[in-house]
Amino acid sequence: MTSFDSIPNRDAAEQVDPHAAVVARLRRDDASAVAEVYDLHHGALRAFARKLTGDVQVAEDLVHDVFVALPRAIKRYRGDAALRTFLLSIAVNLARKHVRAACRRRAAMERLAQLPERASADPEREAQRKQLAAALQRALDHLPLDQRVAFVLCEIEDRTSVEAATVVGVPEETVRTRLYHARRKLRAFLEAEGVA
Amino acid sequence: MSPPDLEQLLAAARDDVPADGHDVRATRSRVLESLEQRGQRRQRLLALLTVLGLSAVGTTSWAWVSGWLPARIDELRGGDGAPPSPRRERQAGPRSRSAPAIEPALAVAGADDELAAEGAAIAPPPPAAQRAPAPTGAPKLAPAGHAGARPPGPVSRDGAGPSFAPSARRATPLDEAAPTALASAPPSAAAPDGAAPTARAPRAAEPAAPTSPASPAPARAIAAEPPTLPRDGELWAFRAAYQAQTGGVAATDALAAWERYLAAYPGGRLAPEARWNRAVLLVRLGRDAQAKAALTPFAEGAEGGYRQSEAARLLRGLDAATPTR
Repeated sequence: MTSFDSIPNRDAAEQVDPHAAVVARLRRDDASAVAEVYDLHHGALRAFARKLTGDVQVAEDLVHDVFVALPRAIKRYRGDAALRTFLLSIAVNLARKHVRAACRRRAAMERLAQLPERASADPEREAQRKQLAAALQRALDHLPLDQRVAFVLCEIEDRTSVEAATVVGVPEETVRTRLYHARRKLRAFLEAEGVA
Repeated sequence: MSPPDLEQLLAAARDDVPADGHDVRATRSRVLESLEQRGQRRQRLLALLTVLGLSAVGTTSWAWVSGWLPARIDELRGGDGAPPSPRRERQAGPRSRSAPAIEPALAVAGADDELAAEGAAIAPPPPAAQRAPAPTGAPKLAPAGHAGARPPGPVSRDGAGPSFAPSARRATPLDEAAPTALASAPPSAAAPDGAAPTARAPRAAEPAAPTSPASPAPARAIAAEPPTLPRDGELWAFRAAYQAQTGGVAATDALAAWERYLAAYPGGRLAPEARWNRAVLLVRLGRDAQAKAALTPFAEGAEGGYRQSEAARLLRGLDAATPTR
């Protein structure tokens, strides 16, 4: 998982210059440039989408929407942040309906008791992990989207508040405030749920 | 719940499950397909807008060139698409006097000077193309060499039809050489009736058909009418009578032309104008009783206020001159 200490200390390879050519092609609505950016950054974006939505299929939909929106959104890209950060900000902007869809899907799955199974080398550990992750997602479903995004970026993806503020497009203090409230609500919810 | 439990959840959530390669490739294909479909939709929309735009431009151009659009615009503005004819002056009310109109000054012997400002309303002649086929009974122009024959004055040529110079306060003769000013009344018309057509503003170069080879000034034919005026027997008859009145034809012949028009088209579009011109000619010819009978409906507002004040002044002048006429 990528970790950013701070924006100024970000890896130079993530700076604008190396991507200037592909950004220029993106502005010209070049589909091959979109494919190139996808190949470079789909992993990080998919990981964030999965952690944010808690659903694999919904996360794929979110990733799809982000790259389809990229040729238009790139017009707003000023080059003051890494392209990957810009992609994450697009994902945050598009996340609302996907998170809602994931919540509905999760609720439906739980009602039908049809949790998705995935083959694993350590089925027991995997099952435990999934159970805990599902519990966390249920808790996150009760958070407002802003607090959920802040929690996922800072706590699950382990990004700094500065990076999270850049992704979300709000001041750092706002991110910290949202994170604080998210933690408080999650603890309260988990206590109420009796997770031990 | 204690924080470590939350940490356990976070640790479980942080475990990054590698993405299924199938999902990665499938999503990539979906992305590219969606972009291609969006591009095709954009091209189809652009093509549709281009077709609509070209259709609108073509339709508008055709409507303008064919004259349909100017006529509709004129209707919306309250006009009838016709030139500023006496009918329009009548409808405009007091403004009609100031509207550009060719009004031969009418001077009645012994009448006040202000009566000299009145004149016959000369309606715009029909298109020049209509002159050729002369309908049966239409008045003829003065033969060549007729004394006092005067070529018809210039008529305006604009998109809507002929327009006219403002009326003069005094009787003035036709003067084709004066583009905008009203000419003074011809001597032959001054004494008994004083009425004479005033000069009309030459609107544009017109194919002239001189009625008298002896006429010193080149005859000015009636300007070609705008293509919107229909070929119309009524208009032709009115035009012929108008030419008779303004072309130097004897007043009796001009009177007969107006009476032929009114007999043929008593309720015609230009009947009020024709009745006014007849009344003016009766005044010129000194037929006071007939002139009074013709002017009275105008003075009483029977023509919707058209020429009402002029008719009243003429009647006063006739009453003042009655004992000696």
